[in-house]
Amino acid sequence: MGFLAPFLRKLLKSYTGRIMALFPFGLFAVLSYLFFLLPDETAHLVDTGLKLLPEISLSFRFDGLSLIFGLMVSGIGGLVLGYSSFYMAHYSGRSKFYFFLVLFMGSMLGLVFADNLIAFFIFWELTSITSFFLIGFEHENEKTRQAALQALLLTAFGGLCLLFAVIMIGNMAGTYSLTNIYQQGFRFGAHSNYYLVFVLIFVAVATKSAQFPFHFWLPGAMHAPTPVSAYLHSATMVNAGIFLLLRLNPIMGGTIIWKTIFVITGGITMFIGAFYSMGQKDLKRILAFTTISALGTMVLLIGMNSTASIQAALIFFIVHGLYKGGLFMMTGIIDKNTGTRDIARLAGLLKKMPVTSIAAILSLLSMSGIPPMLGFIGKELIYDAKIQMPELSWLVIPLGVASNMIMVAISLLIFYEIFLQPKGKQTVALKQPEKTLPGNFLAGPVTLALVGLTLGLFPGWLENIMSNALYFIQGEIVDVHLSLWHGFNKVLILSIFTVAMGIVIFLFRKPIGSLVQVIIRWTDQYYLPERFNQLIKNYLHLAGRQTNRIQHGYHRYYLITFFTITFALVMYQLATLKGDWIPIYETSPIKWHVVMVLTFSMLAVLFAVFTRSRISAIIALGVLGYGISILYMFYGAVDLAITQFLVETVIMVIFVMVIYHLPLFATLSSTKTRIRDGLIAIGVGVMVAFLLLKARFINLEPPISDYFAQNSLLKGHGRNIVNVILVDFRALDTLGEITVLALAAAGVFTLLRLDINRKDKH
Amino acid sequence: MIVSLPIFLPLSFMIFAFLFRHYRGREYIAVAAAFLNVITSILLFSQTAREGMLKLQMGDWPAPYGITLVSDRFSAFMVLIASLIFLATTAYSVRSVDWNRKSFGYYLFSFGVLMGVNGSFLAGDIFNLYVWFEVMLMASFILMSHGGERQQLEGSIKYLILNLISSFFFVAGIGLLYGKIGSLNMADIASKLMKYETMPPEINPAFILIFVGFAIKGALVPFFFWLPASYHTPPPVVTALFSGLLTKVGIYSLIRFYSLFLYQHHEFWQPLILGVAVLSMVIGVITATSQFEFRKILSFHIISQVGYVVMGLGLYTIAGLAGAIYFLAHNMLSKTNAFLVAGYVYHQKGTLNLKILGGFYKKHPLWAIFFFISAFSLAGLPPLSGFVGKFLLIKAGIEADHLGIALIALFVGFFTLFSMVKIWIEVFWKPEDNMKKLKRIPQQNWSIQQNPLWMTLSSGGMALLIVLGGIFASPIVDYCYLAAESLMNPQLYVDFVLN
Repeated sequence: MGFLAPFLRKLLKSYTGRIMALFPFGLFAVLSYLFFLLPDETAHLVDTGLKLLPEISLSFRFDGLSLIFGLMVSGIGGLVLGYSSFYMAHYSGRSKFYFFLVLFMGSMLGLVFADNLIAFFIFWELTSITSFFLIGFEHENEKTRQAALQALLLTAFGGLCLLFAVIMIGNMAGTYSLTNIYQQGFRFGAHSNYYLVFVLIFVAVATKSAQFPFHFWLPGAMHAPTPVSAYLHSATMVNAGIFLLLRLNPIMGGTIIWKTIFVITGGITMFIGAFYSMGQKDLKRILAFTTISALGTMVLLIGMNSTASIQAALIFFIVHGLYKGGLFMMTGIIDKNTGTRDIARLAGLLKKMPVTSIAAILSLLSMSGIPPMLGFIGKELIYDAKIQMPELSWLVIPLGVASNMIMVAISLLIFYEIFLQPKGKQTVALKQPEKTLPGNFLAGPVTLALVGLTLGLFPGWLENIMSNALYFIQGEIVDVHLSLWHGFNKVLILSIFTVAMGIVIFLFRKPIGSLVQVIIRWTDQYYLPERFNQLIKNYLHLAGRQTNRIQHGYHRYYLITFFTITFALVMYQLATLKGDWIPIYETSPIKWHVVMVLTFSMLAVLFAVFTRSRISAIIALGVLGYGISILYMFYGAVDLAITQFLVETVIMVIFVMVIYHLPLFATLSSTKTRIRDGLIAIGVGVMVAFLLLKARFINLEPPISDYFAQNSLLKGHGRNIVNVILVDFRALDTLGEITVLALAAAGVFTLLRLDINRKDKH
Repeated sequence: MIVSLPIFLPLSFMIFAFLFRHYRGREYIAVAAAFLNVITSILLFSQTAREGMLKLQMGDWPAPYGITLVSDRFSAFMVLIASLIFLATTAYSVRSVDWNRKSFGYYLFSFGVLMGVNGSFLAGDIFNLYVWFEVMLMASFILMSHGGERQQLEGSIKYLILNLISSFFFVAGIGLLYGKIGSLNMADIASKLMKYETMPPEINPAFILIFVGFAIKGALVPFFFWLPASYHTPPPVVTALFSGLLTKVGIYSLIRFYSLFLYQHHEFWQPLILGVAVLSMVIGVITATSQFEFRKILSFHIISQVGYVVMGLGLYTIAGLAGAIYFLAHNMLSKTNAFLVAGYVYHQKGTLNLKILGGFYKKHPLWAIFFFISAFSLAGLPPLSGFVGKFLLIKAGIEADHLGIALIALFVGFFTLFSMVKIWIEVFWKPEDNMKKLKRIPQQNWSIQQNPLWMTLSSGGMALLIVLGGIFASPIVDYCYLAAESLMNPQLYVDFVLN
């Protein structure tokens, strides 16, 4: 679908968004149909039969959990697409935008419904990539690029951890299919690899769902166009981590480490998010921090791992998706229509944009957990779940209540500052009256707010799907009863207390605000996005230094490395051989003429090493070469001797010719380096000589050369064995070597003749 | 017969190119020849896939005495991938290589490289393998220095000398081995070694020398220095060709030798190979991330990615080897194409410095897509071919209980992603900075010709292959498993070649 976007856009012009929205809405309808059909304890498995690899099959699993997420993804997706057709109207590159947005939607749906763990990972990674492009949509801006980079690096890091974890899980369970794993009742809490997998999963969840200390990419991601924030950062991508936790809960949930780590992280994230949201002026950033807080709440609830807490997490996911999506879209509308998102500059919108405002106020009510919105039910369930955990309630209740108080206060603050008309604030001018805004632009926030209200009034609609989801998450059959009114109990008292305290905070917003500012300014020295950039810079610096150390550009040290390491390897290997150091098993009688030739050659070598003149060094080497050819002759290889003679002579002549054109030795090495080089040279020389001696006396198998001797005349029709070998037995080698020579000749010719700067004659 | 075609076809073209030096349509004939080479490779591949192994005794001399050419699933696959890469780079050169270079035997030398590479893949004889290495080295050295610009010469001298050391070690090893075991035919040597319960340790020094030779060729740590010193100097398309073929031949030979000989001394070689793999992966990626030049980043990454392949080899399980083979093929394609994109960028701007470049996403969206596909495939993002390769290797690592090594491979992937995104952001996203606009127009004379259709076609074709290789990975991976199984069973190879 996404791939069609650019073509569709040409076809449909500005209607693209609206038409494309039909696709997720259609999906939404199908999913809702399934939603009402789904019996209590079954999951539908749809196998498409497609396979990426034998172990990665593309099959989809429809159960309560995936349907809840899938409905949110497709429903809000449709609204966002319709919404963006207006919001994006004046951006260039819209087809790219739709392309990535729809691709993201597809990956997110794939993630939610994937039955195969690896397929799940693939979709997870795809959401990271597409969100990278969506966040970086306005990539001409440096800040945007940085934010996109940070978001990608963190989520991709988490993604890699996830990959490793799911491979390990699949390896232990023997299958990657979730359905099969559930059916086996596979759990591996006691396995020795549990902790590794746990850590990896934790990192995956914390990066994707913006948990402390990886939460900082989310506010940065607000550089994305608003429809993207409304979609990715409310109900979809950031919740992928939550979804993962819920999916894995039956496999690895409930251990002590699971409970402690997730409860603590979730609690901290919840509080930090709420706290920081108080210090922001930009509406989008306020929303981003409250999102972090909400994600923290969900992780906390899942970490608590009781039926009540998971039920609360699911309801809260729906609540949060609805109100946060609505609020982001509201922000976008206000931003478009007034040109600012700064709460200090906005005022009096209730009169000017009544529809937007009422939708926004409903969403704010839901955020602060006030009846009759679904948010109220969500919050009641959360309190209920927390009270039911006596061992943890001392920690989670104060944190939770505090965060909720802040939510109430923030909602009030937004309401008061931008919708009412505080004294001394100027009204902002609208670019166009609200009535003239297209319907689908407003439809998003209004629909979401109304859904929140309806579900708050009729929560019973959710009971069926919730109990199915809970069955697969917790493995027990639960009768879910949702209602607005629970009777007058502890939970309600807590709720009332929260709202009251929220109002108090709002009333004292000035002193509290400045206190918050002080604390935020103090923590800003640990401003994480900066730190992260610094980390990257430091890393680059360090890597650069190391690179210069490794790839230093000095030729001789490269050679030294090659030779010493080879030397060390051979020596190590020889050392592991037992008692085989002396290779000479038999000695042949000494022949004096051989000794004489050798002595001469040795002297020549020594002379070549110590002489200061290039010419004499070359001539000395020539002497060595002649010595070798004489040796060949002694052992009966006349052809070889002649060849060697010729080669040596030619080389010497060429050398002498060239040498006049070379500059003199520029610097002579110091004695130290000479000794070092000498040692290395001697070491390698001795090693090769030693190996040769060994090879001479180790003949494990009869050599094939006898065959050549026997058959060279009979079958090869030649008396000279060497020649027959060259042109017949091993003719292919000769052909190759001729090619080498021809290439070399052609190469020399080009090197001399080709003048690259000559005018193009073509 | 078909087995020898990948060697003789390039040779015939070389003779043609030599005889008709001044013929104007040579580039089209070169493309046609490269295409023909793809067809013969497909024929070879399909026949090998059907029959498992093919052999050809050169000059009809029986197996351990004459020279044998062998094509098994692994080598046929490599020949096929190499032919595709070669077709792409040849077509790409039509427009990207200047007239002067072309009229001075550019195609002659590039077909020389192809001949050497194909020969190395098909050689069933260690000395013959050495000969092909030499052909490859000579042709690639000339290509690298071709044009004789200062920077090029500097790079090619390092390239030549360090690679000559490789040849020296290799041929010394061959000599020692021949002295001890008395044979050059790979199957024959393997069968002689198999007779021993454990491999006689006297053999090992020869193999160490050969290993070092391959490690230099394959640019493994600590023998990689020649690669980053030279790969950024020749015309970009030459780098693209080299990056796809040269190091990979070294690694191919290492895998071949390991599966025929070295596995017998597993307890000595496995830790060594795994250690080299880890070092290569880590050092390669660290050095790559520190660079700020398009081609240097990609060059350093070769080291790291070669490390992945060697890791798969070091695990020495069927899954590991299959992963290594798939990864090798994927890497050849993705790497080459990344360099082709670099070539296009260079042709447009005359520089590859990331700090100066910018704005390519808007102006050249098609090439942005090509780069995205190849680079993010290198970084191992799904559903591109790189993901499949990485997945197979990491999974093999976990199954073989080498969790630590698998984790290292995993996080090396993260840094790869980082440097690819760095290129993406700097070259494609960042707006072009007019202030810094180049004072110098290309100092090196890699001519820009008007119509880049040939370039677009070849790079686009490669990008398509990368995507298809990721999405339809299943049959390819099945094939790699078959290839790995036959590698793990050297007796098959020995029996087939000797009888």
